[in-house]
Amino acid sequence: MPPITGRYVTVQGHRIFLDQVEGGDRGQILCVHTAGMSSLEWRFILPVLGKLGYHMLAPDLPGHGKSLTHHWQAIESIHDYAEILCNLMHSLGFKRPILIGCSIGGDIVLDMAVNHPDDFSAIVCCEAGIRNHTFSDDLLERGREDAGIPGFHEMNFYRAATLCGRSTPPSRVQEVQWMRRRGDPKILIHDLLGWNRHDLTESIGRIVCPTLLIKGEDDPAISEEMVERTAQAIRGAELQTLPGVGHFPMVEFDGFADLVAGFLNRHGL
Amino acid sequence: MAKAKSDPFSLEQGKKLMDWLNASADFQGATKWFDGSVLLASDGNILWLKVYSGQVIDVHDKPSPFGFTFALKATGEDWTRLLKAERNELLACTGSGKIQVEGNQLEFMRLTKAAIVLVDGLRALG
Repeated sequence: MPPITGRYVTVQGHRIFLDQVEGGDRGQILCVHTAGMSSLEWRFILPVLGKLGYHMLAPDLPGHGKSLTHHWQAIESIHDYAEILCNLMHSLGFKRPILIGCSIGGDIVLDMAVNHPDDFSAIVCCEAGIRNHTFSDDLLERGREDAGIPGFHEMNFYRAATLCGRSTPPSRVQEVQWMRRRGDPKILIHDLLGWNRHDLTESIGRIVCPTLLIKGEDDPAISEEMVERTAQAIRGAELQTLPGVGHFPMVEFDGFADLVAGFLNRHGL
Repeated sequence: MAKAKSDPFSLEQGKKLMDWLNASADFQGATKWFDGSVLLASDGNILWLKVYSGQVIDVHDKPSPFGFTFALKATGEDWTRLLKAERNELLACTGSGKIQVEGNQLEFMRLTKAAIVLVDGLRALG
């Protein structure tokens, strides 16, 4: 398998860390991670798609993993993240890359495709949709102060296990939990505030590129109905439901890379 | 002997501290989810502050029969060193034991930011 290597770039003042696999020139794929997590989530996917000839890139969003924010404040807007990644693509000279995102990463790739419809060859949106206001606003607003949510870090560790599907191997559940624990709770809170406020209801029709929506059947974080509504609103979108899989299909499901490769093949990518 | 009015743990300074903290957005945010009290002790001098939902709502210069949620206790010399230092070294002092934390240790941890801002206030008024 081709190796994953890392490097740093600066975008809009944010020092961004990137995991990458320089697979080839079949196409460029940007992978966007979930709330509070990092590019580590894509470690099973990058080499597999890289071996098929794609140039793979998985950034740590500002404030996550090894990426810094230039203003030392958490970002809580899906659109702001989307624009940073669009600028990242532009600065790296990527031409109509393919986007894959999960959870807030899924919201982000939808936002990128809505606001820059001609700039992407295809998008894969996992566990996300047009609008997904699924968390308690009270809890998240309390979470702006650490004192308002004591034990949140530990709660998230245990919650992470329940976000995984019934068929997920225990070692992968542990990996998800460990990744959750090492993230900053405040960053997670701000990500979820963005998730709650994300709403592309009026603009989702602007997406014109081939779109695959993926929904883990066991994912409690977003409903089947929300994802189906998103699929119906995007012209030609495909929807794939994964039995026994939860909120992190790229970690939980070994067939994820093949599923994405099959979709890209069908569209000549 | 009466405490000097400028003594950081005099009642007069305590009231100024109350006003300072209540004007601090950081203190308000940090204590928005706190219903308790903080006791500051220095060589037998005491300030007791009642805090509720982001505000100091009462201050006394003697122990309250209600007790305290947590207390920060040190010698006058160590308090002076902290209040005059170049930066707020509260956590270094509690870590080294120069300032003793008594009472509910878990609440002290939860209110770390509030405690730091409280000392910011003492330093600003000192």
